[in-house]
Amino acid sequence: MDDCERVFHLNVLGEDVMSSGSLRDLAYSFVDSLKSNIGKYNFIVNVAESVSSYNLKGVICDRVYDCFKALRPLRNDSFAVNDDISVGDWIYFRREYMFRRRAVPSDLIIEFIKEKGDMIAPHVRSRIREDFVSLVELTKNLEYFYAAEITEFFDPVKVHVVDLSAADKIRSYDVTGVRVENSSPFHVQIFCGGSLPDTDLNIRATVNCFAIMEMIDILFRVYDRLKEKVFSVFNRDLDIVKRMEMIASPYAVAEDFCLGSSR
Amino acid sequence: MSKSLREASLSYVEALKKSWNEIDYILSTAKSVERNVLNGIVRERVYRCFRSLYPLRRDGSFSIGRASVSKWILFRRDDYMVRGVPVDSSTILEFAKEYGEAFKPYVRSSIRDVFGQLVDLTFQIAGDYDVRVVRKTDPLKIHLVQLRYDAGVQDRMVSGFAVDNNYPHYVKLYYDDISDLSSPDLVVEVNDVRTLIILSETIDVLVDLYRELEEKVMDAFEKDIEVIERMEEVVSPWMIAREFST
Repeated sequence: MDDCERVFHLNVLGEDVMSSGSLRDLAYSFVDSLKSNIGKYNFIVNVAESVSSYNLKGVICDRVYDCFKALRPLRNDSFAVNDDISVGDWIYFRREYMFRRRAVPSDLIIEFIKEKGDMIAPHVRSRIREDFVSLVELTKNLEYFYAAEITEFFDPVKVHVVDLSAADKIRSYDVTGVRVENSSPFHVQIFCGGSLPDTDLNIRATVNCFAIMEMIDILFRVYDRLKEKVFSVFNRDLDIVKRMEMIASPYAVAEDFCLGSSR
Repeated sequence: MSKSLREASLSYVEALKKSWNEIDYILSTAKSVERNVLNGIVRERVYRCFRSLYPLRRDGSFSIGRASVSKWILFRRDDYMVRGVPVDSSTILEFAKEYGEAFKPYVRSSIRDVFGQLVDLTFQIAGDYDVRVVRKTDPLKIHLVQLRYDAGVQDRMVSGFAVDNNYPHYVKLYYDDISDLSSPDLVVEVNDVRTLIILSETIDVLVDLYRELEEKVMDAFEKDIEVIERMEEVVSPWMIAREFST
């Protein structure tokens, strides 16, 4: 670490201080550049918001759940498929540690149907059986796994983290690589020469503002690739879900009418 | 375009490093002039002086107004309090200034003179240190950088600054009218990196502002410390005796 990078802790106003006019000018020029690049930063944040694997799974789960839910009641009576699964108005299941069966919730519907859908299909009421089987088949085609990561290595780039509350107010890193994962899309893992990440930066934290701006092009590229990778799988699943919704739509419409007439 | 952002950021950070003395001066001054801390120091030392004379009386108790003295002092801060509570560092100055004179004759004879001297010196302590510094300047351009949600940059023109030692980490900014100091247009925290840009853009004014604040507060504080040192000198035999006895 050279003299320049050392953090100064002097209470006396030193002589070799750069004139504050130039600090102001450089702050102004930084803000000007920031203004013209704010679109890139917003793009990165928007991608990070949209590619979260947790959120994407939630979207698909909810829509698949609605499709199956539209076929309700699955049976007019209750039928135990085996000790752990029963079908009635809806599907109920029990795990080893559970005392009673509980209704299959939306966040488990895809995994459950993939695993047990074939077992349940023969026991749903005859009028919906065919559509139920189609939905099960389509559910099996869902990839439902959106974990993606992009790692990129490059020549060392110097970046700075300014944290006024930390002991070392200005830290600098020689970054040789970055990795972003959509399981935690707001965190950029930073490599400083090794094959394991040295630290991670939250792209929304203002302390990392300078580091992010100093790598804006790299991050723009990496997040763009992450978006492409995630959405190629997600959009395929979305197409399947749309076909499932086509199958379920008459039931959904009928349910709406029923609800409308009962109001 | 973005290459220039990287360059601008690098040169700005370099300038920050070089100007760190000034920023550090602001941060350390904000820490050192805090009113509560200074008040606490003064009150604690005054309390220790009086406490070294314990017990104030050997037997019985004597009351005047809201205070009573026996071995130690019980004091009701206001008339609504049913009972007095033992005087501590937070109430010692009020007690000494209000009732010290009256109780002089009723403390035990061997400490009576010293007690009287302490009370007299207490009147020379200003305490409190409520200082505010205000600056009116030519309009200065500042930028509010917002990154957390829907990032953007807003320009503002600032022409007034105020800082006080109640909350010395906060600088109040006024866009044009500074007649009403209680309603600033913007309040920025100097030790928050979110305001680093504003800090950089107004560094001259802020250094000046904090220097004046420090001068005013420290002048008053150091005068009080001198008085307290005299008080400590007066009670030093009792303090030493107390040290030995404990």
